[in-house]
Amino acid sequence: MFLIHCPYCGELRDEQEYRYAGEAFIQRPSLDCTDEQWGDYVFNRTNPKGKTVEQWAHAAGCRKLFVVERNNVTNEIYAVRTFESYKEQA
Amino acid sequence: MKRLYKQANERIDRSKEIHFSWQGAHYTGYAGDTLASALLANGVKLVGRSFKYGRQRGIMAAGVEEPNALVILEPETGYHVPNARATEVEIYPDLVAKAASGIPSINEDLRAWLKPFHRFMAAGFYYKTFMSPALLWPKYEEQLRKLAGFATAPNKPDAETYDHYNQHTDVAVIGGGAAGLAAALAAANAGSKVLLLDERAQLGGELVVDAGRDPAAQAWFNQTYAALEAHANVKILVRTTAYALHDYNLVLALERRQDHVTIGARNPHQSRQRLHRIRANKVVLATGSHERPLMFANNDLPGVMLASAVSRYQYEYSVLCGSKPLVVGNNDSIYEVARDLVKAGTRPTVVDCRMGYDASDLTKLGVLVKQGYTIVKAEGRTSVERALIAKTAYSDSHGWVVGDAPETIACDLIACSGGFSPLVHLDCHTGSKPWFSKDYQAFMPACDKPHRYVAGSVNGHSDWQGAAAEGEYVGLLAAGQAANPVNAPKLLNVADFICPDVGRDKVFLDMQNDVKASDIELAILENYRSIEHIKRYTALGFGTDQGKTGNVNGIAVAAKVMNLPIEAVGTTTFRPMYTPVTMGVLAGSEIGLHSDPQRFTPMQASHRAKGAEFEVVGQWMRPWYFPQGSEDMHQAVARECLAVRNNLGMMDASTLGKIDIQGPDARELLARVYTNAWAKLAPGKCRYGLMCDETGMIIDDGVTACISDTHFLMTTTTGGAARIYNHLETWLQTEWPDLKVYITSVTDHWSTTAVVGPKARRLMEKLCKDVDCSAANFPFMDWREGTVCGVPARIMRISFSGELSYEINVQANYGRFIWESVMEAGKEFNITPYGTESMHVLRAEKGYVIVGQDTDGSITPYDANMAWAVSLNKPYPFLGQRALTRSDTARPGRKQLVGLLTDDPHKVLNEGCQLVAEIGSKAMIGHVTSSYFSPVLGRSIAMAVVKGGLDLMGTKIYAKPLSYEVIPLTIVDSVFYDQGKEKIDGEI
Amino acid sequence: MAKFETALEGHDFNALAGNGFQVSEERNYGYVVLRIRPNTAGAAEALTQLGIQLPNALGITGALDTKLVKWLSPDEYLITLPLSQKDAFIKDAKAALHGIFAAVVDNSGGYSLLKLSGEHVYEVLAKNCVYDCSKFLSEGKVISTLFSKAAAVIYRIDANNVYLMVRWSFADYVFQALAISSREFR
Repeated sequence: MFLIHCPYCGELRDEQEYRYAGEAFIQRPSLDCTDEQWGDYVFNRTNPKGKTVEQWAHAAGCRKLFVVERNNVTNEIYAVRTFESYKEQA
Repeated sequence: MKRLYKQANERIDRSKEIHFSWQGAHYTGYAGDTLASALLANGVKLVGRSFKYGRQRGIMAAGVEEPNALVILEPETGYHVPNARATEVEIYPDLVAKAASGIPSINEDLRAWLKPFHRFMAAGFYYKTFMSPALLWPKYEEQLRKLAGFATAPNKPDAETYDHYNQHTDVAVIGGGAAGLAAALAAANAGSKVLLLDERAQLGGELVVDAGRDPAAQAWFNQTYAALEAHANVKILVRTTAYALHDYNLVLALERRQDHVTIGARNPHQSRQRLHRIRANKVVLATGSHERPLMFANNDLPGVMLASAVSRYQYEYSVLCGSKPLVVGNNDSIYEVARDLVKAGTRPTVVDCRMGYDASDLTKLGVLVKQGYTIVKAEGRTSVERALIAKTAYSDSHGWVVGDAPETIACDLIACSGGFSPLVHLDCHTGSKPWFSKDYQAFMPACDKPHRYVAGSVNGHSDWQGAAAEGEYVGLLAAGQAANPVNAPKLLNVADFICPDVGRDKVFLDMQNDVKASDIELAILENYRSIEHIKRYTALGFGTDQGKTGNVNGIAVAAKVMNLPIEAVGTTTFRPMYTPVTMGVLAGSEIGLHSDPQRFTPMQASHRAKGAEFEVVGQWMRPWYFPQGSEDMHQAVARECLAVRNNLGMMDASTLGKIDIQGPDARELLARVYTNAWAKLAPGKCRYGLMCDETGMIIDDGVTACISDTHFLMTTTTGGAARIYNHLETWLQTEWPDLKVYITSVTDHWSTTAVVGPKARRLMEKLCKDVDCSAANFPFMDWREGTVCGVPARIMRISFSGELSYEINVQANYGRFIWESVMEAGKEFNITPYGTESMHVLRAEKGYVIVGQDTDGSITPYDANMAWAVSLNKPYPFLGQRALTRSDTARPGRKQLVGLLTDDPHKVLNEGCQLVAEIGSKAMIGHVTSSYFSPVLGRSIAMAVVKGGLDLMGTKIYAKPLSYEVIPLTIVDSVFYDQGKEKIDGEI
Repeated sequence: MAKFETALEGHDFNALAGNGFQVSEERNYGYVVLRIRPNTAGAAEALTQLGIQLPNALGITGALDTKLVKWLSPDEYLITLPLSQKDAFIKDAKAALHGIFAAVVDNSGGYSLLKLSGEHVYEVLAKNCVYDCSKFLSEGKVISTLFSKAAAVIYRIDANNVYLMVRWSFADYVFQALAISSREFR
């Protein structure tokens, strides 16, 4: 069971308050993409071993989604960031 | 009696005699005794029978590692505890205990009669013997099950309660021995909040033995304990086992709050056991170590004990385990035990496989010390009577070699020590691998995770002073203070494992599961190589003790047989739980009706008073039907449905999810998440919407009302409310952060009373004076703001039955008032409350789908025959739009939603029933999704998904239920009733 | 006369009260959700006009007898105010925020507000919440978390009481959880 620092509430909270919300930064293809591209977008995930970049929602807290960079082998959390912070970086 | 005169620091209270029952006979012990110490004090040697061979077994240890003494407490009552370890059970007045093994009893065990066949019952015996014919396995299994296992399961409901408690602390110290005590005090003195846990009733750990040997140890304990007790930063939990250590220092611990109290004296307002969920910034593992037994023939005979346990029984409980003891081992600790036994008035024999230890103090007292010898066999009829010892020789290439000319030594107790195994369990729960110390001949904790420390004998310290010094050191570190490193552990001088030459002798490794050294050899002979596989093939460490005494010896045997170093074999995986945990405490207070939230609408009190039967929908308790008199469900539903069709009904629709949507882009959000068009929906109007996910499959539906151009109220299915809210939030926050729209759940704010039936308008006109309810001025799919019985309301003319229907939405606080006012005013129309079952029948008669029943995540809007709800021309393609043209989604032959009519109008199909095209066919072409008897049509109706079904109207197909019947039926349109929609405006 | 009821109408709160733990349900408050980002154009003026000061994360401003404003998320605030003032406030708020990207939502029927007090209050909370209320729930602080399995907003505005706010439909479940976890203090 992790502890995750919510970037909006500004506190370390128990995993029970959160909801895993899938891989982050999946690009939604445009309507004119091929069936294969759409299928890839809908069904396929990278599923790496080691560092993952994933979305979590503070479901029982502020209900905001954000990004957690986590090692899924050791469960070490490298960073918790808002979507805006990635935009500013880019 | 084997009780000694009062030992200096004994922990029994001789002023309090305790009477208890064991195997139906009465015994007496003292307060402070465990069941094991009390039985030993009473001379009871036989406490169980072994798992596979029915061999006699006695108490071997003094703690949780005990493999043999499994007992049942308070049998056949609501307090029945199966498989408790006698070494952990604190006796209390009138305790009733019996052995957990023995078929039929521990004195006479059937399995022991099979002795001539035991040599055929090696590892894999069951797999090999009962493999074929496969069909007979259930028969074999039935018989084998009777022979397997230990205690019987409780046959009465648990009379006690359990709870959970969240703890937060700076430092959690696990283990209250010398190291743990010192760590706790040091951390607390440095300002940290400390939680100290120990599994025993009293703190001290092995200090109780040290105190027997050295008064300074007792003085140190008294002083440290007093300081901890008085310390404001320290919380002590005794009788509390930390059974798991998870990521981010989450410690799970089981506290036995009342297990030590006489049944009648337990406080019913308190839980029996409590699960502590401890979040600690730092964890100190001062978990100690367990002694390993030696491996020799018949090493399971009652009277063979762990040497350290013998001392523990002597000092803690003043119990002498044997009058003619033999102390044997491969390390220095046996001499201390021998000195203890001398103090207790016996003259032990000491057998040490090594040479060179200076035991002159003992020999001067007349103790026979045989160095360069080890034990090869224990003999005795019901318990130890003698031991056979033989000469040993050690070489680096071959390890220990034991000679074959044994000498006999008479004894009634064999206190043996094969070295110590640190309790690395908790450290390994988060994935750390222990490392093998050649010097200490043991697997040591890696302690390679952050915010974690180990101290004491788990780290190899053999003396309490060294353990305490290390405890103090890590206590300071855990509190964030600088500390001077302590000396390396003073390791016990331990020789290599003495693995037996595996012959036909029974050398037990895992006493609880009857796994012998020869079983390990056989597994390797049959080509198992990984210790994980060897474990599973032989069942080594599979018992309730999880191999605490046997596993490491088993690894040593495997290493010898494979001619590998022990570290190359490695350990099996240590997983939670460290010791068995009751199911009750895992459930805590979340049992029965409280196991999951039950959600109620504001009308609940009325429903209950009306005698409604309830159905769980999501977590909601919804009225299922309202039986009158002796009606069964079918009679009640028939009455309710006909009332709605012919007269007037009312339903509690409060449970539907409601989401308030506001902002300039509110309309755009709806257009993106629903498949249909929203651009032209005007204020005052409602529209049905169909929602898909990106796979193009239907995930929800519901009616949305336009409050204003920038304000909408969406309804979702009852079970889908939270999921759809999350769905919308996720899209808004991730993909569409630029949309100016706020969504807010108002499900609980609104209560909804639906007034349904041809006479609904007449009722509304009675209750609501400020809204014109005429068909012309308040048409279907409109909503109005008004006042009902003096309460501000939003009234929606929407219908899930095809009848004239007004849904009256008011603030929840007035929900019951409105419901009961409608009921009262409706008396003149004989208004009939109806539940979810009638709602289902009424909607099926109209062919309305229920998402999640008629759809299952593989149904597109086209599959559901709802192309009318798909608008492909919106500026921003709706979620799932692209998926609708994928080759698989658009292919012909997909399962499509149709209606079914059975040839026999009284035959009601089972929902889920499979459909075939021809009588003899086994190829399923679809299945029934909804099926009811329609009271208004006087016949059965069903909905189904059928491959290419929309092109098969009028086709005869067949249903094949599990009953092997074949039911002929016809595919029809799914609207069964009022195809012309003539009823929607009710009585004009 | 329309009959007004709370979520726990008729529940026996005396049966829960005991040695060092009491619960009561507040009846006379309205609950309004305000959705707004503090930096939204025009927000500051409108909020000043309404007499609302937006609190920072996990913070509370105002008072129960006028308007208690609680932070729920960066763009969501829960306003508790006397029920008699609720409708007028909503009207004023909608007028003041007209044309500004914000939402005012009446959720007065959506909640049950419970007031917990007594020396054992943090033990009862510890049995139901993973959040360390005894350490971190200081005066003037609000958190959203789980109470047993129900979503809850928990806050403190004075030394003696802890306010526990749960959705109407979960109120009975929470009442049962309180009854179970306070049993040993009765």
